[in-house]
Amino acid sequence: MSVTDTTPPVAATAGKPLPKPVSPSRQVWQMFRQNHSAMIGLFILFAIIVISIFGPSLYTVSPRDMVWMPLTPPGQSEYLLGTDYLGRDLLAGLINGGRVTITIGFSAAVLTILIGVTIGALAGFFGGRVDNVLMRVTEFFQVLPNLLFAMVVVMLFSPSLINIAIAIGIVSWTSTARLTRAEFLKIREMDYVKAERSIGAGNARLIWKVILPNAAPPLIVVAALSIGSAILFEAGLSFLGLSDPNAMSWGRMIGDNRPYILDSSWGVTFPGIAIFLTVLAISLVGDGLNDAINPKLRQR
Amino acid sequence: MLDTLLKSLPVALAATLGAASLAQAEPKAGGTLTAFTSGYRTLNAAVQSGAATGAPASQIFAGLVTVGADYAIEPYLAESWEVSEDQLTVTFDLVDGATFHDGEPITGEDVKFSMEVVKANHPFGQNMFGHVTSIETPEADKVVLHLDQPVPGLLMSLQPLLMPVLPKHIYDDGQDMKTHPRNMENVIGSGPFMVEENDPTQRLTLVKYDDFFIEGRPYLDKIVYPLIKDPLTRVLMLEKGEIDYAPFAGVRPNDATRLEKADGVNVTTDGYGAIGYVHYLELNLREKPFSDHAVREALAHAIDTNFLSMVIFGGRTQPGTGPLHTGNPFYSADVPMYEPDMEKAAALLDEAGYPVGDDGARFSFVLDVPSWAPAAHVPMAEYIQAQLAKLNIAVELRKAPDFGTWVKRIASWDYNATMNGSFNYPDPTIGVHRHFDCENIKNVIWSNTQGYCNEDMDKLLDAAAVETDMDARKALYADIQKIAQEDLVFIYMPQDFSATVYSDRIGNAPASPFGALAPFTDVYLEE
Repeated sequence: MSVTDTTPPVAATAGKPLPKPVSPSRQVWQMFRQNHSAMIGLFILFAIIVISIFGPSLYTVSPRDMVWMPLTPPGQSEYLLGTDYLGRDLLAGLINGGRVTITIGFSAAVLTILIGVTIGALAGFFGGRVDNVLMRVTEFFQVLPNLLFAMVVVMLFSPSLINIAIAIGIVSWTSTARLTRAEFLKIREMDYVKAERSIGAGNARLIWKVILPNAAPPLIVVAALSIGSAILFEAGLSFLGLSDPNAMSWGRMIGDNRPYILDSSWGVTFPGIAIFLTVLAISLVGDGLNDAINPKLRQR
Repeated sequence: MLDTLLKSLPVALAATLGAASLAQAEPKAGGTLTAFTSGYRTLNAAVQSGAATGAPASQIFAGLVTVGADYAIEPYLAESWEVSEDQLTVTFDLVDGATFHDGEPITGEDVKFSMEVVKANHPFGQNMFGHVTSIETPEADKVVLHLDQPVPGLLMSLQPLLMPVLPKHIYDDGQDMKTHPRNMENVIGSGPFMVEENDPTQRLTLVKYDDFFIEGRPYLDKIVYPLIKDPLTRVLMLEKGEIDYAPFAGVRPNDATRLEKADGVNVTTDGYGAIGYVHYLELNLREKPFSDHAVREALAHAIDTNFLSMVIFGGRTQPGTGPLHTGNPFYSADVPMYEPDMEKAAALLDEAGYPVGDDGARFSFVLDVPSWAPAAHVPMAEYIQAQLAKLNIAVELRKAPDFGTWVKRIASWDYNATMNGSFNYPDPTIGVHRHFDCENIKNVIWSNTQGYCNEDMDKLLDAAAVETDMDARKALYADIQKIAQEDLVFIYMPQDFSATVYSDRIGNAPASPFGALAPFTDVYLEE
């Protein structure tokens, strides 16, 4: 799972007398900070988000305007990264596309987590027949070919941003559901859960207030990583021509420029690099979080 | 190919060259030709126009005549015909011994039945055969057409693409022709090739019909049409020589430059003159804002067809000036044009009552983009979206996932605007009148779906349809083109970059004005 081969050293404060109690989130941050690749990832991600938010108001070329001869290679005009088949500025496209790409990735991930955690939590908590039914449903979605199913959904309901995010969410929640269920199965037998139940806590309280917070660490990691895979998924759909024609995303730039790839490799390369960097950064951060949050790794 | 070569060389040189190439290029029987298809819904060209159906259908079904070089009408299923002095009766003699692919003889009854089917079901059946009042079959191999007025384009309409001869014994069972199961399953035709395998999700395979009525034809054993939807895959396959013959190749101008450099691959834009493929922005004229002429005028000022053809299509296409293709004998360049002028466009919209609203837009509309010509329509639509954004008109693009979805929307008039394109066909009565005729406002794709009706236009169309004097007819079409531009029925885009990509192996590549939509009876493979 981890891309780092050095285990972060234990916090140096351990040996000193009367150590100040450290809050869990602070502890996680300390662990995370010592993970260099995770910090690099966080930095790249931060830069991409800042550019996506403030870039369009600083670099004011519209991504829709035809500004130069079509298919101009990078460096041969005032437009740094060259132009696409309509003569639109690729740099402007990249800067504006980030917002849409990250928004799709984020909303699809939220949906993935929402569906996955709900189903997994109910299945794990109640067990028995509920578990059986919900897990059969999960298996049904698991055996459907992801990409094909998402394509069908997008084609049926037209390729708008919302539909694309929904399609990605619908096909990728199954592993989250399985993970959540496993955590719930384990935690619901813990003494503190039994204790809580014995003093009269209802099911809802047990699920949301008692078990879920304790099952959260692995879920947070999964949530972070699923943003990355949602971005890749969106790029995959766009590559197949299923992108919102009214919103500029990196995936759509790749899809649109693909027919011209033989004459203008830059048209697909730059958005490809942007996607690569973003997904890489998210993976690094996700792995860093995993190392920092996982109590087993922390004790080492 | 040979034809054009001959024309461009001095006569003496041509004679020797011609003799030499004839000597070495004796047509050879046999071989499999690989073409391609981008997907089709039916193999029956009597109920569906367009190249996707037309290219294979012209091989499966025969017509009464074919069209040779320079629009000459040549005998095919009809070995001869006679036109009466008043031009109101045409008598056809059919070839003896012609049979359908199931062995049943082809008779005058089949021809009569086919013409009635085309008249009732083809998008421009009415335009082609509306003046045929009755059809008689005095003998099994004779067909007599009676007309209520002279129809100059009649013979041109009798070739297989537009009037395929269908087996009456199979189709005349009371079922709706448009959805008849035999249009796709177990298709029985009358042409040089018969269907061996028809799997629209994979490929269409045609094999030679051994009892074809022309002795020793066709030369080819087989034609295979693999389904290749992706234009990039197509270009790569063409470059590697995996496709022998790709009419309507759907390649982009920059791909053509690339393919011309490939070994053994030729690119030609010949053979599309008769088809006359024009593109346009179609606006639904029934509703505001497009029912308002000033709005259409503003759009015409904002959309620069010259810029599109010169810059976006690299100067390889002609800008569109009206309903007729520049290759059409009736083309006229003397039409009102709307020079690119964004300020004027904005002023027109202001005056017409479409000021910029509180939401920052004058109005918004959905622009449909069909799936069948992405190389042309996607850049055009994106250009229109960008240009109109400058005028504060919000354009939402809606890409159709497949042909059927788009056809359904447009044919039911349930749209604001769509990118569209259509064929002129050699006679404007066939391919042009259908879009402008008040009587042709139908729920049929590529009819007058936009809902245009102008009495003056109708009168001109009616007059041009029966005018037999060429110059007088030209004058009528010049006026028709003028009114089309004045009324801005459509906003014309650059003409299509229609190209055929073919390999050196192909002999007698179809070179008539119908190009790839003519029957491949004489085509052969070298080696």
